[in-house]
Amino acid sequence: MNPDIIIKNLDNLKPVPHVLDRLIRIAEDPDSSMADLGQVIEHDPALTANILKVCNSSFFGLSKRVESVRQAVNLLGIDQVIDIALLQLSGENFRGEQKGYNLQRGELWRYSVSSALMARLIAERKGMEKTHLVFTSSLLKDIGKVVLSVFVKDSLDRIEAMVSRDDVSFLEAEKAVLGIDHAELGALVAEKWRFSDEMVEIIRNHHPGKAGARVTRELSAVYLADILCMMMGLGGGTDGLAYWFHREIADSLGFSEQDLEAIMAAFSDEVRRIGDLGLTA
Amino acid sequence: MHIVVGISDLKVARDPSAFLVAYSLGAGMGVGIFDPEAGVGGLLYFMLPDSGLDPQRAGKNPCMFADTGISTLMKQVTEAGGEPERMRVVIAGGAHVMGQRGFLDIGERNLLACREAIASYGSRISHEAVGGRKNRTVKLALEDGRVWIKTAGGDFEEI
Repeated sequence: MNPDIIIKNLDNLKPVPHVLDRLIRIAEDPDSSMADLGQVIEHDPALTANILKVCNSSFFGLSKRVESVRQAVNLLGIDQVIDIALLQLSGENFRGEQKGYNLQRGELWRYSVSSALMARLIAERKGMEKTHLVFTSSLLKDIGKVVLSVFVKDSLDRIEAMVSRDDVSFLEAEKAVLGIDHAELGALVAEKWRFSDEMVEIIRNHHPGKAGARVTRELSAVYLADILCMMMGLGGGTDGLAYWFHREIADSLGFSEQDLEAIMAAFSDEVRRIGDLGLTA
Repeated sequence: MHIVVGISDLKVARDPSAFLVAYSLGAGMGVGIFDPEAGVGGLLYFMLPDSGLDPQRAGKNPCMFADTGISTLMKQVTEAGGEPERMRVVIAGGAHVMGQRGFLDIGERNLLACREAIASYGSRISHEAVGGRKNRTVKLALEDGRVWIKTAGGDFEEI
């Protein structure tokens, strides 16, 4: 199949608000202040309202009602509030059903949120500074699936036959059958939306193994979170667990088998509360 | 009525109109048991093989692990009138990602831990739907112990 036909469909995505990128840049810049952040968020009344809604959801269990972004930052911390804003800004395109991947309405978004929360947990445990980059890249890594889904649906028999017959991952079968895979497509989306080069590369290589992939610490966190969430059954689509495991990535972050199991155990408690976030996408 | 069993959880009931369901098992496993004479059944969805990883967490939530989860399941079903020797046991899940070569192969270790724990109660596994790279959903009817398994992308099939 000619991938250009698929790439044309990128235009059907709803553009992600520019404020998302500004927010990440502010979050990652040690010289930026709470005032910079407040200015960006409070400039957008719908975003502010949505942030306050999530802050007041039962997920956080706060004893008093949050009425302003400033108050939210005081109660939950600036990093938590930035991540809530990033969540609100990223969800738009993930609302629908992804038929090719056999995901019902909301399932891809729920998976994306789960893996982003886990990626942040991993980044924090490893003392990484760019936790917002890790969080947002993880949240958006499967944006390519939103576009590719309809093409996967039409060629599912061939893709599945390849995955079951050979030692081929679902991603490799997408590439072989459709000419492009969901990670490459996701990177094109990220470029189109003018995300940072780092985020583009994380999205492009979130199923590493291809020659030339530079596995940074941030990519490692996103990758491991994805694999652990798959193992926990949080995705549940047609592609299931048909992706490669790279032990060297776990090793590079200094994780033992036991460390990774402990992360799954901790996350197994958290994942049951994700519904309490009251996410609308 | 469908009673959903979430990750690291279990449900035991003797309501003939109810179905117990665990959705989208990955490397974790569903263990469905039913005693036809007592009309009592239970479904456990555990995630990890061994409570030795974190005994404190296992104390709070024994259903997270194969060993403590299966002993809790057996205890609750027995208290509700079931007998381990009469129980029909079905297990599902234990899938893998590709190329694990023994590292973090939780699917495989879950399967071994699960078989061992069930055998220790003198129960026999009547059906296994395990391994592979696909998520599974398992459903148990408490009316008669029938079980259906759905592999991702497919339909429910009675076993």
